[in-house]
Amino acid sequence: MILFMTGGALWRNHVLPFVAGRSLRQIILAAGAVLLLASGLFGGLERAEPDTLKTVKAGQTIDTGPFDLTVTKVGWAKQLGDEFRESEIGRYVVVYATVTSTEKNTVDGFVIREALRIRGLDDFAVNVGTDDLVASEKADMNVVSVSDEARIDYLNPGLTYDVEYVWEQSAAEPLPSSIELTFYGHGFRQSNIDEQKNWFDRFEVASGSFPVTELKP
Amino acid sequence: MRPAASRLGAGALVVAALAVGQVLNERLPESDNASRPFEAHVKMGETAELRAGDLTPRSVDGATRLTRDSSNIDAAGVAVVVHFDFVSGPKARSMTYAQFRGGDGTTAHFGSFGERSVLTCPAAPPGLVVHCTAVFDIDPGSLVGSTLMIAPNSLDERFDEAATIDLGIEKADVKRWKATNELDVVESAVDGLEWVS
Repeated sequence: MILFMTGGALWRNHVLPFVAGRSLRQIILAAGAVLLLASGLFGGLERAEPDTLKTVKAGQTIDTGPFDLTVTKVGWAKQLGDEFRESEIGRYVVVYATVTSTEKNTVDGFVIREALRIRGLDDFAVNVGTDDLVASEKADMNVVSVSDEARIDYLNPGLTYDVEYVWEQSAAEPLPSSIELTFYGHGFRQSNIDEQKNWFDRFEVASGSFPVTELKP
Repeated sequence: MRPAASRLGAGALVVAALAVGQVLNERLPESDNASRPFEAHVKMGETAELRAGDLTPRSVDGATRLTRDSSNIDAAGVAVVVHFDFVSGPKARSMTYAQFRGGDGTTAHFGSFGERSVLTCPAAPPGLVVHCTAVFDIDPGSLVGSTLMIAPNSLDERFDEAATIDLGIEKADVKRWKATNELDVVESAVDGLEWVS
Protein backbone atom coordinates (compact mmCIF):
# COMPACT_ATOMS: atom_id res chain seq x y z
CA MET A 1 0.00 0.00 0.00
CA ILE A 2 2.74 2.37 1.08
CA LEU A 3 4.65 1.47 -2.06
CA PHE A 4 1.94 3.04 -4.24
CA MET A 5 1.61 6.33 -2.30
CA THR A 6 3.03 9.56 -3.66
CA GLY A 7 5.84 11.22 -1.69
CA GLY A 8 3.45 13.91 -0.28
CA ALA A 9 0.84 11.40 0.85
CA LEU A 10 3.44 9.22 2.51
CA TRP A 11 4.81 12.23 4.38
CA ARG A 12 1.29 13.41 5.44
CA ASN A 13 -0.26 10.05 6.35
CA HIS A 14 2.61 8.22 7.97
CA VAL A 15 5.79 10.19 8.65
CA LEU A 16 4.26 13.28 10.29
CA PRO A 17 1.87 11.31 12.59
CA PHE A 18 4.76 9.00 13.54
CA VAL A 19 7.05 11.93 14.42
CA ALA A 20 4.22 13.73 16.28
CA GLY A 21 3.75 10.64 18.45
CA ARG A 22 7.43 10.67 19.61
CA SER A 23 8.72 12.42 22.68
CA LEU A 24 11.18 15.36 22.38
CA ARG A 25 13.97 13.15 23.73
CA GLN A 26 13.32 10.51 21.05
CA ILE A 27 13.30 13.14 18.29
CA ILE A 28 16.62 14.64 19.46
CA LEU A 29 18.24 11.18 19.72
CA ALA A 30 16.98 10.24 16.24
CA ALA A 31 18.28 13.52 14.76
CA GLY A 32 21.66 12.90 16.38
CA ALA A 33 21.80 9.36 14.97
CA VAL A 34 20.96 10.62 11.46
CA LEU A 35 23.68 13.30 11.70
CA LEU A 36 26.22 10.73 12.90
CA LEU A 37 25.37 8.35 10.04
CA ALA A 38 25.51 11.20 7.51
CA SER A 39 28.94 12.28 8.80
CA GLY A 40 30.19 8.77 7.98
CA LEU A 41 29.94 9.65 4.29
CA PHE A 42 32.61 12.29 4.85
CA GLY A 43 34.93 10.22 6.99
CA GLY A 44 32.96 10.36 10.25
CA LEU A 45 34.98 11.48 13.23
CA GLU A 46 38.30 10.60 11.57
CA ARG A 47 40.84 13.42 11.81
CA ALA A 48 40.67 15.53 8.66
CA GLU A 49 43.91 16.26 6.85
CA PRO A 50 44.59 19.88 6.01
CA ASP A 51 43.44 20.81 2.51
CA THR A 52 46.56 22.70 1.61
CA LEU A 53 50.07 21.43 2.18
CA LYS A 54 52.81 23.62 3.56
CA THR A 55 55.18 24.82 0.85
CA VAL A 56 58.85 24.22 1.63
CA LYS A 57 62.00 25.94 0.45
CA ALA A 58 65.61 24.84 0.78
CA GLY A 59 66.82 25.22 4.35
CA GLN A 60 63.33 25.17 5.86
CA THR A 61 62.78 22.57 8.60
CA ILE A 62 59.76 20.26 8.53
CA ASP A 63 58.53 18.43 11.64
CA THR A 64 57.77 14.88 10.46
CA GLY A 65 56.76 13.64 13.92
CA PRO A 66 59.71 11.56 15.12
CA PHE A 67 62.38 13.80 13.57
CA ASP A 68 63.01 17.15 11.92
CA LEU A 69 63.89 17.10 8.22
CA THR A 70 65.65 19.98 6.43
CA VAL A 71 66.38 19.68 2.71
CA THR A 72 69.32 21.88 1.75
CA LYS A 73 69.89 21.14 -1.96
CA VAL A 74 69.22 18.68 -4.80
CA GLY A 75 71.71 17.46 -7.38
CA TRP A 76 72.52 14.68 -9.82
CA ALA A 77 75.66 12.78 -10.78
CA LYS A 78 76.63 9.67 -12.72
CA GLN A 79 78.88 8.59 -9.87
CA LEU A 80 78.76 9.52 -6.21
CA GLY A 81 81.73 9.01 -3.90
CA ASP A 82 83.01 5.50 -3.25
CA GLU A 83 79.65 4.04 -2.27
CA PHE A 84 77.77 4.72 -5.51
CA ARG A 85 79.88 3.64 -8.48
CA GLU A 86 79.00 4.82 -12.01
CA SER A 87 75.27 4.24 -12.51
CA GLU A 88 74.53 1.43 -14.96
CA ILE A 89 71.15 2.89 -15.88
CA GLY A 90 71.96 6.60 -16.02
CA ARG A 91 72.32 8.86 -13.00
CA TYR A 92 71.87 9.29 -9.29
CA VAL A 93 69.46 11.92 -8.05
CA VAL A 94 70.55 13.17 -4.64
CA VAL A 95 68.67 15.17 -2.03
CA TYR A 96 70.95 16.63 0.64
CA ALA A 97 69.24 17.01 4.00
CA THR A 98 69.71 17.18 7.73
CA VAL A 99 67.81 14.82 10.02
CA THR A 100 67.53 15.56 13.74
CA SER A 101 65.91 13.21 16.24
CA THR A 102 63.18 14.72 18.39
CA GLU A 103 62.37 11.41 20.08
CA LYS A 104 63.47 9.61 23.25
CA ASN A 105 63.67 6.30 21.37
CA THR A 106 65.31 5.12 18.17
CA VAL A 107 63.64 6.03 14.88
CA ASP A 108 63.97 3.14 12.42
CA GLY A 109 65.52 3.68 9.00
CA PHE A 110 62.31 2.91 7.10
CA VAL A 111 60.62 5.90 8.75
CA ILE A 112 63.44 8.18 7.59
CA ARG A 113 63.24 6.78 4.05
CA GLU A 114 59.45 7.12 3.92
CA ALA A 115 59.64 10.80 4.88
CA LEU A 116 60.63 11.99 1.41
CA ARG A 117 59.55 11.21 -2.16
CA ILE A 118 60.15 12.75 -5.58
CA ARG A 119 56.88 13.59 -7.27
CA GLY A 120 55.83 13.14 -10.90
CA LEU A 121 58.93 11.73 -12.63
CA ASP A 122 59.43 8.41 -14.42
CA ASP A 123 62.01 5.67 -14.88
CA PHE A 124 63.40 5.51 -11.36
CA ALA A 125 64.99 2.27 -10.12
CA VAL A 126 62.65 0.64 -7.60
CA ASN A 127 65.81 0.13 -5.48
CA VAL A 128 69.21 1.68 -6.08
CA GLY A 129 71.37 -0.75 -8.07
CA THR A 130 68.48 -2.46 -9.86
CA ASP A 131 67.11 -1.90 -13.37
CA ASP A 132 63.43 -2.42 -12.47
CA LEU A 133 62.00 1.02 -13.29
CA VAL A 134 58.95 2.63 -11.67
CA ALA A 135 57.41 6.06 -11.13
CA SER A 136 59.44 8.25 -8.77
CA GLU A 137 56.78 8.08 -6.04
CA LYS A 138 57.22 4.31 -5.85
CA ALA A 139 61.02 4.28 -5.92
CA ASP A 140 62.91 3.53 -2.73
CA MET A 141 66.22 5.23 -2.05
CA ASN A 142 69.33 4.78 0.08
CA VAL A 143 69.92 7.20 2.92
CA VAL A 144 73.59 7.55 3.86
CA SER A 145 75.61 9.90 6.02
CA VAL A 146 77.49 12.56 4.03
CA SER A 147 80.62 12.19 6.17
CA ASP A 148 81.24 8.45 5.86
CA GLU A 149 78.64 7.18 3.33
CA ALA A 150 77.45 4.56 5.84
CA ARG A 151 73.72 3.81 5.78
CA ILE A 152 71.41 5.52 8.27
CA ASP A 153 69.70 2.40 9.60
CA TYR A 154 68.64 4.04 12.83
CA LEU A 155 68.35 7.58 14.14
CA ASN A 156 69.15 7.52 17.84
CA PRO A 157 67.90 10.09 20.37
CA GLY A 158 69.74 13.41 20.46
CA LEU A 159 71.62 12.88 17.19
CA THR A 160 71.75 14.91 13.98
CA TYR A 161 73.10 13.67 10.64
CA ASP A 162 73.82 15.40 7.36
CA VAL A 163 72.49 12.83 4.92
CA GLU A 164 72.07 12.07 1.25
CA TYR A 165 68.80 10.60 0.00
CA VAL A 166 70.02 8.79 -3.13
CA TRP A 167 67.76 7.57 -5.97
CA GLU A 168 68.82 6.11 -9.32
CA GLN A 169 67.13 7.11 -12.57
CA SER A 170 67.39 5.95 -16.17
CA ALA A 171 69.22 8.30 -18.55
CA ALA A 172 66.39 7.67 -21.05
CA GLU A 173 64.23 10.02 -19.01
CA PRO A 174 65.30 13.70 -18.99
CA LEU A 175 65.78 15.31 -15.60
CA PRO A 176 64.00 18.67 -15.27
CA SER A 177 65.77 21.76 -13.93
CA SER A 178 63.75 21.49 -10.73
CA ILE A 179 61.95 18.64 -8.97
CA GLU A 180 58.95 18.44 -6.68
CA LEU A 181 59.55 16.85 -3.28
CA THR A 182 56.81 15.61 -0.97
CA PHE A 183 57.49 15.48 2.77
CA TYR A 184 55.67 12.89 4.89
CA GLY A 185 54.95 12.69 8.60
CA HIS A 186 54.15 9.56 10.62
CA GLY A 187 51.83 8.70 13.50
CA PHE A 188 52.90 6.61 16.51
CA ARG A 189 50.82 3.51 17.27
CA GLN A 190 50.90 -0.17 18.12
CA SER A 191 51.48 -2.59 15.26
CA ASN A 192 48.51 -4.82 14.39
CA ILE A 193 50.92 -7.66 13.66
CA ASP A 194 53.34 -7.92 16.57
CA GLU A 195 51.86 -5.33 18.99
CA GLN A 196 55.13 -3.39 19.17
CA LYS A 197 54.84 0.38 18.90
CA ASN A 198 56.39 2.25 16.00
CA TRP A 199 55.86 5.12 13.56
CA PHE A 200 53.33 4.13 10.90
CA ASP A 201 50.58 5.62 8.69
CA ARG A 202 52.55 8.22 6.79
CA PHE A 203 50.72 11.30 5.58
CA GLU A 204 51.74 14.30 3.48
CA VAL A 205 52.80 17.31 5.52
CA ALA A 206 54.54 19.55 2.99
CA SER A 207 55.87 19.84 -0.54
CA GLY A 208 58.18 22.09 -2.46
CA SER A 209 60.04 22.66 -5.69
CA PHE A 210 63.83 22.45 -5.55
CA PRO A 211 66.33 23.36 -8.32
CA VAL A 212 68.56 20.51 -9.49
CA THR A 213 72.24 21.11 -10.15
CA GLU A 214 74.89 18.77 -11.54
CA LEU A 215 77.23 17.56 -8.81
CA LYS A 216 80.89 17.86 -9.77
CA PRO A 217 83.21 15.08 -8.58
CA MET B 1 8.05 -6.59 47.44
CA ARG B 2 9.53 -9.61 45.71
CA PRO B 3 10.43 -7.80 42.44
CA ALA B 4 12.07 -4.99 44.45
CA ALA B 5 14.06 -7.52 46.49
CA SER B 6 15.03 -9.32 43.28
CA ARG B 7 16.27 -6.05 41.72
CA LEU B 8 18.20 -5.27 44.89
CA GLY B 9 19.84 -8.68 44.76
CA ALA B 10 20.79 -8.27 41.10
CA GLY B 11 22.24 -4.83 41.83
CA ALA B 12 24.29 -6.23 44.71
CA LEU B 13 25.63 -8.96 42.43
CA VAL B 14 26.69 -6.39 39.83
CA VAL B 15 28.44 -4.29 42.49
CA ALA B 16 30.18 -7.41 43.86
CA ALA B 17 31.32 -8.42 40.35
CA LEU B 18 32.71 -4.92 39.74
CA ALA B 19 34.53 -5.03 43.09
CA VAL B 20 36.09 -8.42 42.26
CA GLY B 21 37.12 -7.07 38.82
CA GLN B 22 38.74 -4.06 40.46
CA VAL B 23 40.70 -6.25 42.89
CA LEU B 24 41.85 -8.55 40.06
CA ASN B 25 42.86 -5.56 37.96
CA GLU B 26 44.96 -4.19 40.81
CA ARG B 27 46.59 -7.51 41.68
CA LEU B 28 47.38 -8.88 38.21
CA PRO B 29 50.55 -7.54 36.52
CA GLU B 30 50.08 -4.99 33.72
CA SER B 31 50.35 -6.53 30.26
CA ASP B 32 53.58 -4.66 29.41
CA ASN B 33 55.11 -5.73 32.71
CA ALA B 34 53.88 -9.32 32.44
CA SER B 35 55.32 -9.80 28.95
CA ARG B 36 58.71 -8.23 29.65
CA PRO B 37 61.70 -10.52 29.09
CA PHE B 38 63.41 -12.16 32.00
CA GLU B 39 66.57 -10.12 32.37
CA ALA B 40 69.81 -11.35 33.88
CA HIS B 41 71.79 -8.31 35.09
CA VAL B 42 75.56 -8.56 34.80
CA LYS B 43 78.63 -6.35 35.06
CA MET B 44 81.82 -6.58 33.02
CA GLY B 45 83.44 -9.99 33.55
CA GLU B 46 80.33 -11.59 35.08
CA THR B 47 78.40 -14.31 33.23
CA ALA B 48 74.68 -14.25 32.52
CA GLU B 49 73.36 -17.80 32.26
CA LEU B 50 70.53 -17.69 29.75
CA ARG B 51 68.53 -20.52 28.21
CA ALA B 52 70.18 -19.62 24.89
CA GLY B 53 73.66 -19.81 26.39
CA ASP B 54 76.22 -18.04 28.59
CA LEU B 55 76.96 -14.39 27.91
CA THR B 56 79.96 -12.62 29.44
CA PRO B 57 80.60 -8.92 28.78
CA ARG B 58 84.32 -8.19 28.38
CA SER B 59 84.93 -4.53 27.57
CA VAL B 60 83.46 -1.18 26.53
CA ASP B 61 85.29 1.54 24.61
CA GLY B 62 84.44 4.54 22.46
CA ALA B 63 85.64 7.18 20.00
CA THR B 64 84.33 9.70 17.53
CA ARG B 65 85.50 7.57 14.59
CA LEU B 66 85.62 3.79 14.16
CA THR B 67 87.70 1.93 11.62
CA ARG B 68 86.26 -1.43 10.64
CA ASP B 69 86.95 -4.15 8.09
CA SER B 70 83.91 -3.17 6.02
CA SER B 71 83.57 0.60 6.43
CA ASN B 72 84.55 3.45 8.70
CA ILE B 73 82.03 5.22 10.89
CA ASP B 74 82.08 8.92 11.76
CA ALA B 75 79.89 9.25 14.82
CA ALA B 76 77.31 11.99 15.15
CA GLY B 77 77.59 11.43 18.91
CA VAL B 78 80.08 8.92 20.26
CA ALA B 79 80.63 5.50 18.68
CA VAL B 80 80.63 2.91 21.45
CA VAL B 81 82.02 -0.61 21.09
CA VAL B 82 81.01 -3.37 23.52
CA HIS B 83 82.73 -6.74 23.34
CA PHE B 84 81.15 -9.80 24.92
CA ASP B 85 81.60 -13.56 24.71
CA PHE B 86 78.75 -15.93 24.05
CA VAL B 87 78.64 -19.72 24.32
CA SER B 88 75.50 -21.38 22.97
CA GLY B 89 73.55 -23.76 25.18
CA PRO B 90 72.16 -27.03 23.82
CA LYS B 91 71.38 -25.45 20.43
CA ALA B 92 73.50 -23.13 18.27
CA ARG B 93 72.03 -19.66 18.82
CA SER B 94 72.95 -16.18 17.74
CA MET B 95 72.27 -12.94 19.61
CA THR B 96 70.48 -10.58 17.25
CA TYR B 97 68.84 -7.81 19.30
CA ALA B 98 70.36 -5.05 21.42
CA GLN B 99 68.69 -2.26 23.34
CA PHE B 100 70.73 0.57 24.84
CA ARG B 101 69.09 2.22 27.85
CA GLY B 102 70.61 5.60 28.51
CA GLY B 103 71.18 7.09 31.93
CA ASP B 104 68.98 9.99 30.79
CA GLY B 105 65.94 7.79 30.11
CA THR B 106 66.43 7.48 26.34
CA THR B 107 66.60 4.13 24.55
CA ALA B 108 68.18 2.98 21.32
CA HIS B 109 67.74 -0.40 19.67
CA PHE B 110 69.61 -2.12 16.88
CA GLY B 111 70.10 -5.58 15.41
CA SER B 112 72.29 -7.69 13.17
CA PHE B 113 71.61 -5.70 10.01
CA GLY B 114 73.08 -2.25 10.11
CA GLU B 115 76.17 -0.22 9.44
CA ARG B 116 76.30 2.55 12.04
CA SER B 117 74.69 0.58 14.87
CA VAL B 118 75.02 -3.18 14.62
CA LEU B 119 75.25 -6.30 16.77
CA THR B 120 77.54 -9.01 15.37
CA CYS B 121 77.23 -12.31 17.20
CA PRO B 122 76.94 -15.25 14.80
CA ALA B 123 75.70 -18.68 15.78
CA ALA B 124 78.35 -21.28 16.52
CA PRO B 125 78.17 -24.91 17.65
CA PRO B 126 77.44 -25.31 21.39
CA GLY B 127 80.56 -25.08 23.52
CA LEU B 128 82.54 -22.78 21.21
CA VAL B 129 83.22 -19.25 22.45
CA VAL B 130 81.95 -16.54 20.08
CA HIS B 131 83.60 -13.15 20.56
CA CYS B 132 80.72 -10.76 19.78
CA THR B 133 80.69 -7.04 19.05
CA ALA B 134 78.02 -4.39 19.57
CA VAL B 135 78.68 -1.02 17.91
CA PHE B 136 76.37 1.96 18.23
CA ASP B 137 76.39 5.70 17.58
CA ILE B 138 74.88 7.43 20.61
CA ASP B 139 74.41 10.80 22.28
CA PRO B 140 77.30 11.13 24.79
CA GLY B 141 74.91 12.74 27.27
CA SER B 142 73.11 9.40 27.69
CA LEU B 143 76.14 7.23 28.45
CA VAL B 144 76.70 7.66 32.19
CA GLY B 145 74.54 5.14 34.07
CA SER B 146 73.57 3.27 30.90
CA THR B 147 72.94 -0.44 30.29
CA LEU B 148 72.86 -2.62 27.18
CA MET B 149 70.33 -5.43 26.89
CA ILE B 150 71.28 -8.29 24.58
CA ALA B 151 68.67 -10.82 23.46
CA PRO B 152 68.47 -13.68 20.96
CA ASN B 153 65.26 -12.62 19.23
CA SER B 154 65.33 -9.58 16.99
CA LEU B 155 61.68 -9.82 15.94
CA ASP B 156 60.09 -9.77 19.38
CA GLU B 157 62.32 -9.36 22.38
CA ARG B 158 59.53 -10.04 24.87
CA PHE B 159 59.36 -13.78 24.39
CA ASP B 160 62.75 -14.84 25.63
CA GLU B 161 65.25 -13.98 28.27
CA ALA B 162 67.95 -11.37 27.90
CA ALA B 163 71.23 -10.27 29.43
CA THR B 164 71.37 -6.69 30.67
CA ILE B 165 74.91 -5.40 30.90
CA ASP B 166 75.78 -2.59 33.29
CA LEU B 167 78.20 -0.71 31.05
CA GLY B 168 79.81 1.03 34.04
CA ILE B 169 80.54 4.17 32.01
CA GLU B 170 81.65 7.23 33.95
CA LYS B 171 82.03 10.91 33.02
CA ALA B 172 85.79 10.52 32.60
CA ASP B 173 85.24 7.71 30.05
CA VAL B 174 82.86 9.86 27.99
CA LYS B 175 85.31 12.79 28.05
CA ARG B 176 88.16 10.52 26.91
CA TRP B 177 86.09 8.94 24.12
CA LYS B 178 84.98 12.34 22.83
CA ALA B 179 88.68 13.23 22.52
CA THR B 180 89.59 9.93 20.82
CA ASN B 181 89.54 10.41 17.05
CA GLU B 182 90.05 6.81 15.98
CA LEU B 183 89.32 3.35 17.34
CA ASP B 184 90.08 0.15 15.46
CA VAL B 185 87.21 -2.31 16.01
CA VAL B 186 88.15 -5.92 16.73
CA GLU B 187 85.58 -7.85 14.70
CA SER B 188 83.59 -10.83 15.97
CA ALA B 189 85.22 -14.27 15.79
CA VAL B 190 84.71 -17.82 16.99
CA ASP B 191 87.41 -19.60 18.94
CA GLY B 192 88.77 -22.46 16.86
CA LEU B 193 86.94 -21.42 13.68
CA GLU B 194 88.04 -19.24 10.81
CA TRP B 195 85.70 -17.49 8.38
CA VAL B 196 86.28 -18.60 4.80
CA SER B 197 85.25 -16.15 2.11
